[in-house]
Amino acid sequence: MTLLILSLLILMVMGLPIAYSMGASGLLYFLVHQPALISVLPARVFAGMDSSVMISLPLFIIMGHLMNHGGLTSRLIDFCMMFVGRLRGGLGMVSVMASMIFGGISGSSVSDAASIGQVMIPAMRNKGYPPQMAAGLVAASSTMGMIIPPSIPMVIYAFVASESVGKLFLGSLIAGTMVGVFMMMITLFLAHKNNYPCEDVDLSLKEIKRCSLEGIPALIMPLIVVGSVVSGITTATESAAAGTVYALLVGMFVYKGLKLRDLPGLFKDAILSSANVMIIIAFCGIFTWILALEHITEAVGLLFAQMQFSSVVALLVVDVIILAIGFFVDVSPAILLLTPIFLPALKLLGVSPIQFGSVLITGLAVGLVTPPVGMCLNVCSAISGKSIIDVFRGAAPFLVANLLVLLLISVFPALSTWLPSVLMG
Amino acid sequence: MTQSAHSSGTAKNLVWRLETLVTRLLEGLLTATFMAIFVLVVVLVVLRYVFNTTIVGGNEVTVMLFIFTTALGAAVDVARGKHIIVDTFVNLLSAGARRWLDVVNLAIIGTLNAFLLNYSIDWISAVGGSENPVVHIPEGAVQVAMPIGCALTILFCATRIVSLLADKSAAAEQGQP
Repeated sequence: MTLLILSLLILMVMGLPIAYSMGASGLLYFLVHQPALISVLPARVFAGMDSSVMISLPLFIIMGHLMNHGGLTSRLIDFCMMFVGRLRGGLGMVSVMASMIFGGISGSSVSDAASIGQVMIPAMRNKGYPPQMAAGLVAASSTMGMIIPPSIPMVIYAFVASESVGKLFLGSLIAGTMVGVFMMMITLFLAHKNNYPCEDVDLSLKEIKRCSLEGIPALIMPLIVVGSVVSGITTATESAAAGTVYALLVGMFVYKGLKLRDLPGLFKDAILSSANVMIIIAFCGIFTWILALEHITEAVGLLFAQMQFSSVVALLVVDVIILAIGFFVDVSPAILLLTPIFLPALKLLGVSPIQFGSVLITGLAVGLVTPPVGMCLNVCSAISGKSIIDVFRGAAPFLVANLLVLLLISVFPALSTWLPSVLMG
Repeated sequence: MTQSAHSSGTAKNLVWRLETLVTRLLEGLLTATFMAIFVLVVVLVVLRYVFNTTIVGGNEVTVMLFIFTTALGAAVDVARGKHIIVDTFVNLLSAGARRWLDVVNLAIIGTLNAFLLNYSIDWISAVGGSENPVVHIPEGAVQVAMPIGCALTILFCATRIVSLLADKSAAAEQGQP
């Protein structure tokens, strides 16, 4: 086992793609310890690719691409402006609210940061917000993209944990909403403290009608996708396909920003992004198999039992590990690495897989805004022209919201499990 | 320009052309396959909820196509250098050291895929003949995505290594690290 862990770490530090680091360290393990089983490796890798649930992955990716390419962002920002633009620090509040709604559409924090950031970071700078604060706020609020359902990382977790996608979507809804509300409170506090401007919003009946008519199609999207899965009408894949059709229609005929000639490029990007994650899932099959052969999950459970950890203390310990891993490893591989190690042990302590999913995704979202691998940090740094460290400094006050929610959902399981149990039984 | 630099430039050019050609073909194939998956899923949804019927084997076919998109897409991502990596530490290296490390990494990926290619052929020979009970095609017709993906990954590792080494020769000619 030491050989597996050491070789995995060395290969990852060398910059070998994570999928192949898992594969190569697994191969090394079998060559040294279990040469008789080596011929089973292709079947294990193949089994990781053979999944009907994961077809929803490229469909969720293309759904976000289509909506975004269709011209959603500016409409969404106008729509949010009606509600919170007049408050002090209105543009900051709009960024957070737009990210919350965008999270219900794209399922990806990085596309959230890129889309909202392109518009809001320059707008906030022009209104006198410090550039690092503007970029940091967008980076931090974009973390909601993967917490608020539909969430692409949640689909990956659902696959690894063999849990209901609908229950997991509902399980993270309260957490995502709390992050948004806390971020708005922090924005409002900082706006009053630093005297950021209010926006002069045109609230004439004509303007309200225009913004509402353009914003409502975007709001319907999460209702279709999450609503159909949660109600049990459709599977995750079917709801993602329905959402994609809806995004296609809205982008082409309502927002009119999407052209037929754009589709091949968008579909290509989506399927290659999906393959990028799927190949990690495939090689993770070897890794999970070794964990089972070496009884690692039992060992982790035994360790928790020997230390007499309660479920809350165990989750808090795992929180720290999740945050530490999130500093260096991207979200999808981190889910694939951590879930098989910790979920079985936590289940033995009575932690619900829905709660752990919510905790895992919320914890890993922080890693998107922390150096050195924070993807949202990189995106906002590129847009704003500020260094990654500057953007991180700007984001730090808002990350308090993420950490507070992580703590709350770790301590109070009902925040994750109540909604799924009420709506899905 | 010296003769060695010229020949390494020509080799790189040839390899680059081959890589671009195969990559574009695969990207086109992947895009078409994904569009087919999308259309098939939508048709199945409409048939199920509107007409209360289905296409027998439709779900199985979408999964089969999806397996091919993963196997081929992962190979294309090697060519494009788009795989997810932890680059925190390698970013600290000089350009020359980074290039050598890239060559080593590609060699590891190629070796791993060579192992998988070899064992997957044995595996398909052993179990690939069994028929899928729904669509009535041999399982091997789908399992073959594994060796095809591995073979393409090996090809792209080789083309990337040649390109990196040719870059190194050109850089050495110009006195760069």
